[in-house]
Amino acid sequence: MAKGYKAAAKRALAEQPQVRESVTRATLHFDANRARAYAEVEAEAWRDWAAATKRHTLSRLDRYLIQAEARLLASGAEVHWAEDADDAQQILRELIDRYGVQRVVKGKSMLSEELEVNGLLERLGVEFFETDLGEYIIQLAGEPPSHIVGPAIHKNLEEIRALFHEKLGTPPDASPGALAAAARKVLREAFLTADMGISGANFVVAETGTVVLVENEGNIRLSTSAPRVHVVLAGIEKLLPRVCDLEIFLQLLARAATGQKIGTFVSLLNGPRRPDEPDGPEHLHVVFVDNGRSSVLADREMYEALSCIRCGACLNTCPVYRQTGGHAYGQVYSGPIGIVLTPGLRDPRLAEDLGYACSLCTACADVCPVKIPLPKQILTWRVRSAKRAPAAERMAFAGYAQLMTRPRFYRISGKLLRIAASLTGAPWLPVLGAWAAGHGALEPSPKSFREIWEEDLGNA
Amino acid sequence: MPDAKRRILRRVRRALEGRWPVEAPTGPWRPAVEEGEAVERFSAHARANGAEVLRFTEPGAARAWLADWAAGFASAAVSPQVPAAYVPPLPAATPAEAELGVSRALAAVADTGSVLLSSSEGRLLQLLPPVHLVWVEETRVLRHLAEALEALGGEPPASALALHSGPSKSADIGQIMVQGVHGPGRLIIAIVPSLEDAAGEGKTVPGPDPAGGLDWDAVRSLAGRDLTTKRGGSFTVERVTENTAVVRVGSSGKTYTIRRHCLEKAVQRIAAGTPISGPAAYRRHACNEAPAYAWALLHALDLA
Amino acid sequence: MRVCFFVTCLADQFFAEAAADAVRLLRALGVGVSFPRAQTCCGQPAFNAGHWDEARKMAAHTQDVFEGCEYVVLPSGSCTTMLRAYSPRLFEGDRPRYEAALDLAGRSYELAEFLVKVVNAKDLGRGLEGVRLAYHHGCHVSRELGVKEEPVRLLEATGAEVVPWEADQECCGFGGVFSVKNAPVSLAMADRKLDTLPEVDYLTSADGACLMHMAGRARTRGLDVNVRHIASLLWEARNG
Repeated sequence: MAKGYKAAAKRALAEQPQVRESVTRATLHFDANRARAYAEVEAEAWRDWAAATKRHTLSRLDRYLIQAEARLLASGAEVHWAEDADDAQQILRELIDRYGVQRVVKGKSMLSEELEVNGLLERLGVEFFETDLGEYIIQLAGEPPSHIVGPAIHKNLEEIRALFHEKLGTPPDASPGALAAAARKVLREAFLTADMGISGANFVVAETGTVVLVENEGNIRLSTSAPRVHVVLAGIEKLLPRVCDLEIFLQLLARAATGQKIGTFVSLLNGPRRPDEPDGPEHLHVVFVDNGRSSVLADREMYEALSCIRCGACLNTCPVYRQTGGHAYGQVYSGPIGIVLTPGLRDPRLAEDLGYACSLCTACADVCPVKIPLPKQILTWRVRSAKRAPAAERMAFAGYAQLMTRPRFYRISGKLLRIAASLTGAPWLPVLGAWAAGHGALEPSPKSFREIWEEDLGNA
Repeated sequence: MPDAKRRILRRVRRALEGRWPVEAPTGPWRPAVEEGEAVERFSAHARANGAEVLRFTEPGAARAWLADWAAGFASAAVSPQVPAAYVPPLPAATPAEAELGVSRALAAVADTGSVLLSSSEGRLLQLLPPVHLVWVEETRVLRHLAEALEALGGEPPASALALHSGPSKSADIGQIMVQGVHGPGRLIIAIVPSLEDAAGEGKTVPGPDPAGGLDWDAVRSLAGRDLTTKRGGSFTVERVTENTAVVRVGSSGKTYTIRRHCLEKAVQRIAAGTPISGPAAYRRHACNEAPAYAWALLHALDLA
Repeated sequence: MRVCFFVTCLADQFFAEAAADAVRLLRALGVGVSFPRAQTCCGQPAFNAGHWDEARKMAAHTQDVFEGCEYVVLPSGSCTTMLRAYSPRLFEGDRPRYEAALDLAGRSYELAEFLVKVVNAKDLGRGLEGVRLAYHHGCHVSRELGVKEEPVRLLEATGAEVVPWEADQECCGFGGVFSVKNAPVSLAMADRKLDTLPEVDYLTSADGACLMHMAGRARTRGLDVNVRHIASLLWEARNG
């Protein structure tokens, strides 16, 4: 099977039309809510401020990492550092051994997907539960998430009903409320019996060592409160300098993601349970993960992408994403931010394919809460991979440039285009052939403008 | 990974080499202030988030409401930081078993409609019961998130602070909103003037009295009597049954039924220190059924 | 007032009559129009495909062709964006060319934008009274240059009704090379536009390529969609 976005998108559109329908509906809904929520506030000023704060943090990232580590240690947390997924897996394996962990509850974390934590837990024979409802749905279905915020938006109610009927024995026509209740029952039991909770981090505040988590269901609060061990997986770019910075970031994140004023549950974690507290984890571990981020930071044309707060707004507004959903990208991060981040985090060659999961419509630039110049960066990836483009493409553009810098040849080929179209009824350039498959034959104007000018307009 | 930290920091420093640090924007930057009073804005925003908000101007009214409302639950897990007066008269249960969790907020935030909770009272009671009641002192309703976050400033007061801004919800199933997915499906925020004052007198709050403090025989004795409302309208107490009093209005001949339960509730409020000085107060603190005549009954009995 | 008309390669070959209408309209409004013969392509296809060496050659050629023109007017939103917003990026390492690019950017206008901002045309004639239109906002001209109101205002001034369209600012899926490299997605995007298109007499836009894309898709689906370039509609309104 052919790989990459191009092939997967083609397959998805042909074989799973319901994905396009579900994803379009969900993203239009998210995007409209985002637009309304931005309009309620001075969104432009918020975004400028947030962008500047993130750029500042990145420009002094080493200092903020050291500060955050010191504060975390002082609060009683243990801090670990992982250069890549292997490191992170080894750290997790050691913690699972140390605490004799048999059952894990997980809060939604894109970094956990990057690090393939679920694969590790499976290999270790540790029972684990994705506890976000959307994540739980796709865990049951054996799929990866297709969206940063709504991991199961590619599935419609009917598909989820059938899945729950098969896996949990709910009635085939169960209501969304009944389906959620069935999941709640399983997961409630999991929360209360798990030994370890694993979460990501939306923000880590350097000033206080506070780990900040945002959600709507309460599953992250439960995953980080009920088990006796809590492990935080945090990308090194997640830092914010000060507690007061959260005021804007919490509200901006929620508005950008779903149009809410703030996420329904915000956890502000400072170390493990204290002696005078009735409950909470006895051990808190924070793993700072690089996994390609320092390379992105070193790339002066791409480093702004590390400002990303994973709101999903660029996915929601992206007309390309809406057609295929996230799975077609074949990567952890999809949509515009995925196109920009993935080649930098993993392999620049991925840009050859991913760079064209974009029509350069620039809608994403208008919604990004931290003003990442996504369209500009996608184009930069195209420029970088153009040198490795297929020979036919390179020759075509070289020829095109030759033609377009020689006005006389340009004029003659216009005439040839007309003759060819009238003779064959079909286009003769391969690129135009591909076009004609979806659009019908090209129909050049009977006379070019140039000819009209010469015969008519030029004499005025 | 003993050397991982060193290597990561070295790579970060190398990445930043030769670049000018970007200055932090000045601030903390404050979003534009909405007009209006903090408690009102808070209530509106929390309600828009799906929370239920009650505002009590007198401690007695809050306690009376609690006694009445809590009767719908079998058990509660209550924060040790909730003053006794505001503890529902229910058997205690663990958070996993309780039908109701009761918290005391450190603060509330008007901009976002959030309450700030602390792990020092326990985290699970904030999360596991299907219904979560949060007491907030009026003076702790702050305008902005930053004011609430100042609590984190120097030494964070607890291992986990949390902002709750509505009931647990998810639209992960076909974009249809479902409440109470993992956390509480109902969040009730009750705003009171002070939680400190109540702590002292708290013990005196009576539990739900089956008779409700109302002598029903006295009500029966009103049967056949002609009475007047506060505004001077005359009516007759036509009959009194086991659970209702029926009155007929002289001018129109219309009849109204007043339920025993409502009258009992009013008497409880009065006993708890809330004066019910007229039909409007009766409607606010007891029931919204025939308040003019119901209040006149209580008045005739020297109860109001 | 005199302008140089940059027909753009696509309009030259595929929207020649609409481009001619643009010239007729400008002249009718008292604007002198000349047509530098050596003009070809602004270079955007190569720019968007990442072939910047080639794009630079075309952009430099375009600079030379339009040197000395007081105004350059284009019947294409996307090509205008190339001159205004993108072309300077090609010459960041070449100061004279970079300045020439900025200079050309300062003189270039999309047709409707030019009519509103420079000519200050208000009365184009009410020749489209009762005509129902859907206006497609080309991505680049609307988002990169912020030209959103001008074309709609002009069309409404002709008596036409510009019908609300929920997807009017969404990308049609053309995207140059994108429409060939990821044809199925590109066509699905056109479907979203067509499936939400209200009942109208014409679908119009300042971007011929977008119109070609949507019209071609409509044709292969057997949909009855009439497409007209904004220049032709405006000229028709003026000319009766």
